[in-house]
Amino acid sequence: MDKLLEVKDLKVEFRSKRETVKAVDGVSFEVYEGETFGLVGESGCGKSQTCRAILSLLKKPGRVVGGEILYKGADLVQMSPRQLRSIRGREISVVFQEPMTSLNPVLSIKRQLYEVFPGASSAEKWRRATELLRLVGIPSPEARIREYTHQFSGGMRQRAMIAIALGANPKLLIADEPTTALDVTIQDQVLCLLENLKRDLGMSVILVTHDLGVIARLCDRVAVMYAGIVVEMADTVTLFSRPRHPYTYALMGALPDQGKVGMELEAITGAPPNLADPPAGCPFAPRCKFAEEACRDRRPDMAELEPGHFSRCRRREVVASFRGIIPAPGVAERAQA
Amino acid sequence: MITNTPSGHLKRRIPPWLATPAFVAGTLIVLVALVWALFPSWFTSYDPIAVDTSVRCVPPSMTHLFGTDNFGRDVFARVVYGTGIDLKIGLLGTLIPLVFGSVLGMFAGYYGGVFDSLLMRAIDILMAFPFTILVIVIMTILGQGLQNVYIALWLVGWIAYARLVRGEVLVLKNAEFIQAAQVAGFTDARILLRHLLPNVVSSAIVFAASDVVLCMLTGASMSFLGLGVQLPTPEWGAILNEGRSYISYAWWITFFPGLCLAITGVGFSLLGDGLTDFLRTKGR
Amino acid sequence: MNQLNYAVKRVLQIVPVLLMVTILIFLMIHMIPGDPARLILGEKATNSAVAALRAKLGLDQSLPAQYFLYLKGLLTLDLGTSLTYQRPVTELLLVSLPITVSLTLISTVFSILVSFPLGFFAGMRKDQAGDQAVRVTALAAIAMPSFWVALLLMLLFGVKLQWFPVGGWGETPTEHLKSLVLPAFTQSLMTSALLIRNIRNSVVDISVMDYVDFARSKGLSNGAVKYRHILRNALISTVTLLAMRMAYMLGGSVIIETVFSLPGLGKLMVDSIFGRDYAVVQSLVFLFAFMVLVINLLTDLLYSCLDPRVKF
Repeated sequence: MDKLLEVKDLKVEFRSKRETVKAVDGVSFEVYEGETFGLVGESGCGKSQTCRAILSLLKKPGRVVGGEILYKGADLVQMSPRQLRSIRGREISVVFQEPMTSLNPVLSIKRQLYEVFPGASSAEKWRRATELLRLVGIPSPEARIREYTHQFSGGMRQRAMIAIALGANPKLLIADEPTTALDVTIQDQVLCLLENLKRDLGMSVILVTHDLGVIARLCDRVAVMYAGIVVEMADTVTLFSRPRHPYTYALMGALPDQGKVGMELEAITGAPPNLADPPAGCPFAPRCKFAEEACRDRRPDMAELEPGHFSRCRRREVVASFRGIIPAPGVAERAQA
Repeated sequence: MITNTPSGHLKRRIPPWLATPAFVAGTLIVLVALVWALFPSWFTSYDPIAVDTSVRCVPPSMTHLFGTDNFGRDVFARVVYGTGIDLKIGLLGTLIPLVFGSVLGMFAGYYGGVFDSLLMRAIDILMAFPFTILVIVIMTILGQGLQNVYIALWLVGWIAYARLVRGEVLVLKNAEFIQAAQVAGFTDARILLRHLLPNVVSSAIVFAASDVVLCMLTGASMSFLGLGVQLPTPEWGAILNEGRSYISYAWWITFFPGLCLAITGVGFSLLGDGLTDFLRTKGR
Repeated sequence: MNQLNYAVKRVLQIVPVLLMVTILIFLMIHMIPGDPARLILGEKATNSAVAALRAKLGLDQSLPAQYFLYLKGLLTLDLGTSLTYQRPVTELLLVSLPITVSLTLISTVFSILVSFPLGFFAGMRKDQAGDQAVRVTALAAIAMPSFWVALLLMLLFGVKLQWFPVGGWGETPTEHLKSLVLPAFTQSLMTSALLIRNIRNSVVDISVMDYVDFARSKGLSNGAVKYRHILRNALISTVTLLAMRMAYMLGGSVIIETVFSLPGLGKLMVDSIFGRDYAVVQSLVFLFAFMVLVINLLTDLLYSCLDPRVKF
């Protein structure tokens, strides 16, 4: 599989008169053709800003202050606005979290769809627009296409946004918390849609979420982010069967586990660090059960524990004993033996 | 405002909105105007209504900073003594509608029903008239004079506040903290006064800052047309009107009162802008 | 279809308001001190002559009856005769109307031409030098009294430079236009300033909205994003403000036309008030209110075209 997108040591800052917030502080990962890559972490960990940085859509006063974003080898950070415009929509597109505010309230869905087909004839635009709406599962597209955002339900708005994002046949779709703002039943519908699209179109997807369940369902590989850095990265099965970072482990521990009825949910005590004044060492150390003095001195480097499985924790011996929430392949048989 | 800077020391800091040059300038202007209004004799030794035919229409000079008018009166003195009148028109003309209109709007928004419908009807009808026209007609009914300028401003000015506050109350009425207070059994009076009022009053106050300017200008306009203050009271609009006939060779009679009106208006506008920023950062 | 429904609904809504307006005007004029019959005949007239005129004018009837007379007059456009000009009021109004309408329209156009680009320019450069400069200028313009600016402009451009006439309306269309320049400019000052502030704030608010980011993410050109998404949405609230300003400018014509000696409705109003010509005042006020209601109606319709959330 070819490498489609490579993020190398990306740094994003929000600089104001009072302080500088390091929202993304050295994030690296790759996305290959045809795969769905997950970015998971709690609110404020920098996953959304990373995505916005890829398409240079950071809200002021955010700025990329370091690193590279290589798309098919070309560095997006260095590109001129005109070059970026040819990438947006056509190569990479994005779907935001809140569909009500992401669609223009005074333009019809039709107009907003047509915008992604510049240069096509009216008949062609009509054909492609209605086809897209049908593809994402919006009933009677010929009628609904003339309507406005406020006339659509939440789930339908999200589908419409996906349809628009797919309009120019991008190779990479970035979905920033696509189901967070929706009801649970609607969430399932949208996730099904994404599964189908993934299978039928063979697109690469970067899926940003705070929900481990979504990761498990849709993603091939995943990176766990905390306080602006990646703390663990692996393929999904490996991550869920063999977590190798205290944060990942704690996240899974906080999931309601069907097997442990009657036991208390384990919340992670404390709060994420202030990114305007980040701590010197590992950012998770203040909340980590296994932190030592040395953890607070220097931020640990990313280490490849096994092929394709990276972790940023010093305490190798401790994390090696973590058990995931699904049995590792082969372990179940051995245990029985 | 005390903040915890990264170095860990406590430091007193001036809130950013207060330190902007605009707000400082606005405050200074208004303060100067207030001082002129309260202690006019500090700034000039001339009598604003004393006629002196030997110095008719003298251009600005060291002895007569703003020159003299066609009656030989010192224009600077007239302008300084007039400050109080114009400020009063602006401030009093705004204050009564602010209070009265806000209360009306609050009741209408909160209780709804017949009272609200009647109020909105009344507002619709009154808003069909251009502001200046309505003021002029009221002045015609009441007659000339400064007192009637106030009354006219009061009768017309409350509408804007009623609409504004009513709109805000309508939005807040369904907010959870109000519903919580109702469920807790608080009396209406308590809810209105202590929960609703503080939240809706900020936009009314911001509007009031610009309203002061409008009232001053309207009062001056009425005097300019000859409907406002009685001569020889030195109100800025009236002075301007007097200077009209002599404008080609005694421009100063017209220029300086208008300039003062403009500058005072700018002062209040800057104050209003500063207030807006302040209230915005406080998070309503 | 929805558009038509909405339009019809709005037009019908005006009727009851107009009716109430006539009642209010009637009552207000009635409250003006003085006996209209005596005013017409003068101080020296005999009491019996005054009484006769009162009967003729219907002034001895009950209040409601007088009101219906008045309403009848409005509907049949029989508005009485002017005391000062000795001509039918209808005629006076018709002659003065075009002048005030042209003044207001030209002032509005001036304001739009100036404020839209400047407001957008300032909004896109929030807090930078360009934005600050525009805002400071706008702030100054708002506080300037119209009659002061009018007189100074008249002095500079009319008397000293002689580019424009000092007053009056002129005879030919060209002269008409020339005599409107200074007045329209004066009126448009405050309106432009207020519009600039409104547009600037709208643009600032809208340019950070998510849908602007989403539009950019589609690969749209800067121009498309700016105009189709930012400006178009920003202008919606401006339309409402514009209507309010036009109504205010109609009222402001009272001052401007007086200063520039333009024979429009505003000057007619002032002259009639001082001349105690209350038949004229009564009809004038109604005409002003009517024009304001029409402006509001047109604005609402325009607004519903721009913002589909209103119709549906």
